[in-house]
This record gives sequence, structure tokens and C-alpha cells, in this order.
Amino acid sequence: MLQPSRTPRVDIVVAVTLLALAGLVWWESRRIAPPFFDPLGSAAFPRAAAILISALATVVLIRAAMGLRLGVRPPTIPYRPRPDLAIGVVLLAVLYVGAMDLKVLGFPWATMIFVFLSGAALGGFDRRIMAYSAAIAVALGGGCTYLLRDVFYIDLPF
Amino acid sequence: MTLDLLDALVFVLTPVPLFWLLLGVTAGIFVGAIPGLSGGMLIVLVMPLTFYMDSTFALVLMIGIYVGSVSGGLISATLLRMPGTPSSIMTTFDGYPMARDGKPGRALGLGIGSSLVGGLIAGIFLVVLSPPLSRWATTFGPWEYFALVVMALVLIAAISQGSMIKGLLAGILGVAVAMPGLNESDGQLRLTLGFHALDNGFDLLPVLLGVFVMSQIIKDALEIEKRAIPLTLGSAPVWMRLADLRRHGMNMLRSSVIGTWIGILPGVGASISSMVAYGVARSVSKHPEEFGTGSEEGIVASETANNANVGGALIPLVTMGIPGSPMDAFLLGALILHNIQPGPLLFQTNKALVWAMIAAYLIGNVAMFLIMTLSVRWVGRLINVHRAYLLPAIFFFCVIGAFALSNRMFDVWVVIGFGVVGFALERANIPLGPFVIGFVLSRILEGQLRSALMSSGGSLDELFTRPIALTFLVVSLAMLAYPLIDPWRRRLRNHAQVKQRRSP
Repeated sequence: MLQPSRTPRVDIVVAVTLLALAGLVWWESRRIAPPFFDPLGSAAFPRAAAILISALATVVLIRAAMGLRLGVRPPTIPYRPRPDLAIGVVLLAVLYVGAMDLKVLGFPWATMIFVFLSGAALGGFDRRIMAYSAAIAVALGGGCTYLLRDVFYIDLPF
Repeated sequence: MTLDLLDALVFVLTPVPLFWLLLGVTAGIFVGAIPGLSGGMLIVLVMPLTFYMDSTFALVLMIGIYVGSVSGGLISATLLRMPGTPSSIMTTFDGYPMARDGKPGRALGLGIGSSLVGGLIAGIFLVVLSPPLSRWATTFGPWEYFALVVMALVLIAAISQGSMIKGLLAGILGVAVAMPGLNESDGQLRLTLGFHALDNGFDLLPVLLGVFVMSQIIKDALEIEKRAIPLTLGSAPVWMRLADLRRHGMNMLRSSVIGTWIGILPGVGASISSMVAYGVARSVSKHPEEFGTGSEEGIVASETANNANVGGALIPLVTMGIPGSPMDAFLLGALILHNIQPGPLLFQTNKALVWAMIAAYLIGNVAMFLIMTLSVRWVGRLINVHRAYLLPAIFFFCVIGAFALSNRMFDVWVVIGFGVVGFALERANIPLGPFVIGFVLSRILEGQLRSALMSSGGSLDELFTRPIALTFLVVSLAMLAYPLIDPWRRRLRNHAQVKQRRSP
């Protein structure tokens, strides 16, 4: 007997994404040449995974629909969630890695800017936290880079 | 066996491995005590730094982190009412009320002492059970090994927290994510979508860094306002008396056995062990009403079981190459990254390494007891450190770790991508443990089935005619069927009871 989901909205998004992923895996596995010496071939496992993911994602989708119909709400939490900060941190991480990948900024400078900005944002732009974040940024971007690159000879991004 | 163990104990007590072990235990206690950070995160973060280390020292360091982090969680559970690690959640129910009632030292002392006892009892099981189990595992052929991996994946999904459907989904998703790239058996590229960066598939380390570390960074940023004021420890003594050993001896023994046994089951983390041990302790207690209000028995049961779980979970890892928990999947990953083939032959081919891991676990528990007893006041003051200082630095180390693997930015992008994926899965209550274990076991699963089919000329008959493989398969099917049969069985029983009451 299926139980309604307690997180129906997120479940629907995840289940639909997984169904699309399963479709992609199935479509890609059709391009794999048939086996010529072993009985299994390279396509069998991806196809099996695509079928199982679709079946299970469909069950998740049905449970989510049941949860939506019953008006199930996720449990209340005793603090204020900050999706803006979560998205901000991901965006800063993308900019940090992107700047190095596109060779716009070198590793030390990109690190210093990323560590300072994300620390300041996560600390609510509190002056004390910003001061400490600046110190950590210099320590990681400058000191740690020197230590890893010139002392331990570890390759670092651009 | 005794000589091998003694050799390993002496080896781990020499300066260099002892240094790595103490460093690992100390760092593990620290990250375990801070809510939002975990030992798993630290193991994955240090993995790239161990590329240049001797593989035995690397494993000793990681086992130190493992033991330390599981124990460190009790500090924040007791002083902050927030478990530093999920395995300490049951400790919050009694540790915090006891600390609030003016006995924080007593609560921590009991927790630390119980952790040591649980760890050492599980260590005895680890020493005694591992050699015969590994000998038995060497008799496995590809059919047995394939069925064992299937059973492990089903078990992980069935017993992992949340719904079984989502557990299974996570496991299969992990298996699917490991598929892109060159198929080693026939040299064909698959699921690369035309991207050459995917020709070698997703490397283990960036996926682990993404799913376990980056997703946690995103989650911590979302929950940045979730803070609590810690209770102060003051000058209260932090130790367990010998009389406590007598008083809680039975509870410790029982919880250790529960923790070890649950640890042996693949994929079942320490949190389930502590929940089960807590529930059993409550049901057999003379004062069950005290549970949840500051019961000593509750703290002892929870902390003994979660540390015993670590030892139990190491058993399938060292004997069969099957991870007993997500943390063990990281250790398995570390073995692979150090070019050590995990599996039933590990005990034969790398005997010294396996015994060093076991010795590190035993000495790590003693080190954990000493370090925690001496440093708990200091760690207690650091547990509420603002995440704004930690999260950017953690991502910095993710970037270094992912890049250092193959000197390519693609791996760093994989960290971010899988961070978002891991975060989304967690929001939908899809457990990450089965995902990681599925990812790690995927190649073994496919490789063993391929070998088995080639040896049988493409026939599946042997899967059903070989007793061990068939047993694993029947257990898997039973685990899958249980959630379907159980409600039906309960309904039948309720129906019968109602009928009995109605009849004169």
C-alpha cells in the first residue's frame, strides 16, 4: 500500500527530473553497438538502470500526487531558512571556478575574492565576521597557495 | 592471527602511524562535534592529500577520523542539543536534559566512557570474525559475489532511513552515475553524450566531494540561522567511574552487540544502531519513564552502540569489500585511489594493511577516550563557531582536492554539479548513503555479472543452483517483499483480534 509523500512538491520535481534522466540513459544506450563476444554487452546495464529508475520515480511521483491531494505539508522548522544564501553560495562557487577555468583570474586572487565574499554574505555582512573573513581569505589565497604550490608541489588550478 | 594483530599494534604505536592516528582522531572529534560538519566530509577532503602518503598511513589517518567523528558528535548533542553527527541523535534526548540539570560533566563522562567500551567490544568482534569470514569469502565465485552486491544494495535501501522506494532509487541512481565512460570489458564508450571529458566517466573523488561535501555546504548556507547557545561545562569533572561499568555493564554489552551486528549489515549507519540500542535499553529498563529526561541508561545505550557500529561496519569492508556504511564506502574509495583492490582477496594480498586498519581502530578508540576526556572543555567552546568562517574554506579544499586528482577543471565542475544533485536528493528525502554505495559498487556488480555470464555461456541457471548465491538472492527478495507483506500481515492480525473480541 503506497503512503502519501511528506515532501510532495520537491518529490515531483525530483521524480520528473529522474524520469527525464532515465529517458536520456535509455536513448543513449540505443546508440551502443550490440555485443560481439560477451553475452551482456555494454548497453544492458544502462537499460536496466533506466527501467528501474523510471519505475521507482513513477512510484515517487504517485506518492507525491497523493500527498498533494491530501494537502500534506512538510514539518515546520524552528529557524528561518535562507534559500537566497544557499543560491548565492552556489553562484559564487560557479563564478569562482568559472573565473579560473576561463583564466580570467588566477587561483590566489580568485580564492581571496571567493572566500571573502562568501564569508561576508554568510555572516550577514557583519563587520567583525567580514574582518575575520578577510584574514581567512588572505591566509587561504596567499599563504595556503604558497604552501601547497611551492612547498608541497601540489598542482593548483590556473 | 594473534601474532599478526600484535605486529600491527606495535606498528601503529610507532611514531609516524601514531602521529597520523592521533591527528585523525583529534580532527575527527572536532568535526564530529560541530553540527553541519561530519567525519565523512573530512575523510573525503583529506583523500587527495593522502595521494602522496604511504597507503597504510593514509588508511590509519582515515580510520582515526572515522572513530573520532562518531564520538565527537556527543559533545554538541549534550551541550547544544544538536547532534554533531546523525549517530548522536539519541544522545540529545538524555544528554542535554542531564547537562541542563547541572550535570554536563557526568553526561559527557558517561558518553565518552561508553564510546570506548562500545568501540573495544566491537573491536573484539572485528578481530575474531574477520579472518574466518575472509577465508569463507575467498570461496566465492562471480555468481556469489554478484548476488552479494545485489543483497548489499537491497539491504542498504531497505534499512536506510526513510522510504524503501527512495533508498532503492538512490542506490540505482548511484549505479547509473558510475556507468558513463569506457566500458573496460569491451572497450566501448557509453553514455558520454559526446563529451570527451566523460570518456573516463565520473571519478570517484569529485562525486564524493560533491554529494557529501558541496551538498552539505549548500544545506549549511540554507540553515545558517539554525543556531543554539551551548551550555557551559564549567569545572565539572568529566569521567566515568568504575562503579558505572558495573552498573551499566549489561547495557553496554547488549548495546555493543546490537551496534556491531547492525554495523555488519551493509549500508546501515551508526544512527540506526543507536536508535535500536536505545529502544531496547528502554524496553528492558526498570525505569523506562526516565528515558528522554536525562537517563544515564539512554546515554550509555546510544553512545555504546554508535561506536560499536564502526567496528561492525569494518567487518564486511575488510573481508568482502562491501561497505558497511557510507563512511566505509569512503574508505573503500580510498583503497581504490591507492591502487589497492578491495574484495575477498584483500586479507590475502594486503594482510599487513588490513591488520594495521584493525589495530588503528582499536588504538584509535583508546586515543579517542584520552583526547576527548582531556579536550572536551576546549572543544565544547568551539562547537558554535560561525559557519561563515568554515564553509568557504571547505569549498576551497574541495577545489584543490578535485583538481589535484587529474589536473583538470572538469572535476571541479563535477563537484559543484553533484553538490546540487546531492542537495536536491536530500531535500526529497532520498538518502545519500545508498547513492554513494551504489556508485562505488556499480563496477563490481557489472564486472562480476559479466564474468559469471561468460563462464556459464550466457546462462543464468547457475545463479539459482549455487547455494550461497541463491541464499543471498532469497535474502534480497525477502527484504524487498517484507514492506509489502508486513502491513497485510498486520491487517490480518488486527482483523482476527477484532473478530475474537466480538465473539461471545
